[in-house]
Amino acid sequence: MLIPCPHCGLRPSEEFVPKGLAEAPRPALGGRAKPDGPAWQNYLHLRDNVADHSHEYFHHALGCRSWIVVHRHTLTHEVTGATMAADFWKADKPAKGAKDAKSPTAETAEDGQ
Amino acid sequence: MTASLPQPMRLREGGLINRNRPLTFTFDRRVYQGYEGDSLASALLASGVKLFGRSFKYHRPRGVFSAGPEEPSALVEIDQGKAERDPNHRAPMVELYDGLETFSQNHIGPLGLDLMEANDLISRFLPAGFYYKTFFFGGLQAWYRFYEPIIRRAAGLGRPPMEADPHHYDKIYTFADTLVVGGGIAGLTTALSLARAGQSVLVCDERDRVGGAALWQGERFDGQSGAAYGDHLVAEIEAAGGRVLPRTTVFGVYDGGIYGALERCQDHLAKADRRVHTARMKYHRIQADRVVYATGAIERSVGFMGNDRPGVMLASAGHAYLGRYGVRVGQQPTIFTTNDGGYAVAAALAATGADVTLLDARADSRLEAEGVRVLRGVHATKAHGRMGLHRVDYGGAQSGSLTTDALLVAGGWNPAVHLTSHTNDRRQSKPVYDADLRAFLPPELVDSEAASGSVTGALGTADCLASAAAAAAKFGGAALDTPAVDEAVAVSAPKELWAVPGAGQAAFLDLQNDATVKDVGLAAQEGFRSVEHMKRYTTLGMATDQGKTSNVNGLALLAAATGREISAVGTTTFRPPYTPVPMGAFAGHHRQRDYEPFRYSPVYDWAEANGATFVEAGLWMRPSWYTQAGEADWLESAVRETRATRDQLGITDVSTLGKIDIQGPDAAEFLNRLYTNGWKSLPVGKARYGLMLREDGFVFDDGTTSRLAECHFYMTTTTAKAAAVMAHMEFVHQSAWPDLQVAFASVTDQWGGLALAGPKSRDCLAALFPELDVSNDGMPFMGVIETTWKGHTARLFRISFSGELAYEVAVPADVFDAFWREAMAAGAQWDITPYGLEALNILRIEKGHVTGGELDGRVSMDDVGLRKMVSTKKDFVGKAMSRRTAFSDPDRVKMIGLVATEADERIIGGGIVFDSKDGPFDHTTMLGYVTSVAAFSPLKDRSIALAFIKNAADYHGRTLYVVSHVHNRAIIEVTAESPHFYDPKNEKVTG
Ligand SMILES: [Zn+2]
Repeated sequence: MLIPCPHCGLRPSEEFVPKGLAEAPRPALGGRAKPDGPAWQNYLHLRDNVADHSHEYFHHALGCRSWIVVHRHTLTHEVTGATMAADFWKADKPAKGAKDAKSPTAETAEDGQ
Repeated sequence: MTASLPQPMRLREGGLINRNRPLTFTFDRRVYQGYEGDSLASALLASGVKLFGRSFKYHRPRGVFSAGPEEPSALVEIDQGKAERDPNHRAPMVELYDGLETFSQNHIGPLGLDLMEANDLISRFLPAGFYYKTFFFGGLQAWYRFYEPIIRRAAGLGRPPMEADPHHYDKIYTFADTLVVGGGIAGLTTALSLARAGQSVLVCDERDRVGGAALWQGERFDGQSGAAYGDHLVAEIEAAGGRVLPRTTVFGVYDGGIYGALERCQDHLAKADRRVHTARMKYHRIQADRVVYATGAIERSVGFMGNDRPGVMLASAGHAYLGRYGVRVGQQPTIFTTNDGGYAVAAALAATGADVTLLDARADSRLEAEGVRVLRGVHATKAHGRMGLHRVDYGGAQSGSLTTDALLVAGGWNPAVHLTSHTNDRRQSKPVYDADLRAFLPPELVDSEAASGSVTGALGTADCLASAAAAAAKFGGAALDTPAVDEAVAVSAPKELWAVPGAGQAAFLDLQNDATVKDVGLAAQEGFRSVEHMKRYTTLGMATDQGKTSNVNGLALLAAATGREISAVGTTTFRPPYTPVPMGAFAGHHRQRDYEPFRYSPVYDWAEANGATFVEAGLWMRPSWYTQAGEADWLESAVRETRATRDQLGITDVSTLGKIDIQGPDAAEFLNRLYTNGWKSLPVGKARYGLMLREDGFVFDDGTTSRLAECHFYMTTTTAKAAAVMAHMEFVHQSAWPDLQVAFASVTDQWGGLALAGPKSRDCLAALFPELDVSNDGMPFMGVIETTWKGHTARLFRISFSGELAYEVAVPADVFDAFWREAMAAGAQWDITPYGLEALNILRIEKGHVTGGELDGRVSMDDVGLRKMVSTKKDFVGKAMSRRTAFSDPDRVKMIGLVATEADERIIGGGIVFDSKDGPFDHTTMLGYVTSVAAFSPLKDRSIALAFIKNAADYHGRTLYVVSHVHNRAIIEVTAESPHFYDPKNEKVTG
């Protein structure tokens, strides 16, 4: 598997350490989200595990040390791109496919913040 | 030189062997001769050997069945001796060299008289699924005592080596624009076209020489033999900048244009010619933008009685032994064919003067072959000859019996689609059955893939060359002149015949697993309709050959038995590896001492020279204790080191601690978010103990961080968590708070560090830095001074892990050894004592400091008594989740100290804590568990421990019992107390 690090280019997956799906942003610092509320549960535990396009955190541990979000199809292993984690949750984040509804604002609203 | 040994089946001329260079080898300790260019199989056949081994299940005598990597039967062991023994080599793939020693497999007693052959006589009682059905009698006890030992002895393929593999293996990254898998004429033609177009081309061929079937089929290219034309193409490819790797099997296709290949570098050489310290094999991880599958095709047999007898083989094998090795496999051979291809073999054999009969299953064929007797519309019904074929019965349009010494079966060709199917999940398609060709063709290829040669289903040489040109055109190859091909063999699609009428038991499909026509019928009858289930039930297509010669016949018969089309049944899933790959090739040099790198402190050499015994801590080698003359064991050394530190002065190496340099205007804010406690108010020149949580609220790591300047911090982490803390900091910074202006880098390897501990540590520090004021006022507890030592930066920290007055000093790693030696000299007047991890452990357990034993990922701040470390004024990683209700459950285990009641008893690490010695010692009565043990504490004059128990506060002062279930339930009586055994008011460290 090859991973297109936005900083380093196409690199072998052995240089990366995966962390898991990037499905929700970290709840805002100083917020009032409850530990058992959806904001924290979505961030820490709940994963859709889709058979479709997905977004996964990878750490380019043996490269530039960037945390990136890799866009991968879980059935075909097709990698269609990668975004710097630093840019991923920003409002003008790149198109992420139809399944992405979890914007930071939607999340915090849901949790009554 | 040995006198020349007879090779009765060898022709006087022909083949690609060097008759001027005879090679002597052994098979089952008997001496034989062959020639340079022979395989083990061709040399044994030349010498008249028919019996190569015994089958896996029924122990039937078996010969050689093929002339290539698809060989199911002729598996041999090479060499003997506990380490050298290398089983399951396919005889056609073993290149002959002088002194080669080989042994047959799967028999008890001599090969010709295998005591396990009784299995064959009762074979009708050993059908498919026998193992699943039979051994229920007598239950599990009977299985372990009786059935399993017998089956283990009887079954299996070869014997494994019993000692570590003595060879070297290499791993190598290999790159190409286009990878061509297979060096037959088609693959080479495509490769040349692409190389001429300027692509970097890599051709991998699994055999020792390129040319594929053209090496023996006899067709000529522009007047040249296949071998000569193949060599010509290789020279042209190399001239155009391409590479050709012989003896290199591409065994797997992976995502992202990655291919696994195994290059065999040494096995074909005589022992004396093998280079030492050089890889036996290389595992290539090939990265290529495009791939051309030129993997060829594998011939298949037909199911009939006795089709496994020694002397029955594929027609292509008989042709290859004749054309490539000059070996005639029989003087009176019979060909049994379902297609035109059998005629070429028959004609070639007849041309050598053999008496050849051809059985053509097709009644309507009009082909003839010179000098060959042809019977049309007939098929072989039974082969006779347990140790070697001598007669074959036939039936159909006419029936009869023939005396014969070789039976060559041409059942049609299966394109070698294996590699094209390794990424089926990606392409979402499987091999496609072509009902006209009666063969499975590769699935729909993606843009980066092409196929060339007979893997496409092309039958004749001209069709193969056309497919080669088409593959090259797909990737923009340069136009080539097509060679004129003459004397090409006749080809046709086969008549549909998977097994002859009446074939059943002893009509074999999979020779390696002894799976028969009857087994497939039985599987269908018992409801196994899926080809994957049939495979598991009958074992057809398993083991080293993965059914290369048997899969398609098996699934076609399953289709017939279940009344479905072959295309509806489909193939089993092809997975890597295509052929077996030694584990050593995947391991490469990552084995034993080189499995992982070691990390050494700058004072490793000093420690080694001064009696240190080391322990692996992660990748680090850390001194565990320093042995002095007269010390009986590690505990005596560790206790001496502990006492010396408490009474006078100890020194220990803390270079392995993780060190992270943090800078930027938001550095303090970043630390505030990482740690549970506050950092913004920390003055420059001060250190602070910090606790990190994971985002889920559990304790992650602890350490001290110092403020060196307004925007510059120096963090230390535990040795074990250094890498994880760094990755965690990068994650939260980049994924959650990218706007924070902070940068950080690991400087673990850039700094060496030592700790001076004990009442004399201040004096020793003053001696090392005479110009500094290190008094309690000049350098109070948690004070930090950045200064220089002999012109190098030195950082002094007044922090303590031991519970004593203590300092840590960090200097650049390259001068740390010199600094350490100077500290030893400066401390000599106070008998400075180096101490290792064991003494460090006693000291910190006495003080009640936690390490990885306690911070095991399951504890909260409260559990380890660190609630006081939490700032209520700010948010931080893990704060929200640390407020989960379960964390305040009174039943949660919390840290406590334990002291053994008896002076001579040791508390056992990992022991379970109970409040009664009467039992039952199980989860219903368990209070908690022990995490860290000091085998002997000088402070308490006995063994002490840290433990986690329920309602810990209620048990202070009470008697408890530590039980170890892995030590015969040994019960040790202990008294519980505060885990802060030593100086609970912290007067020593602050005074
Ligand atoms: Zn990178």
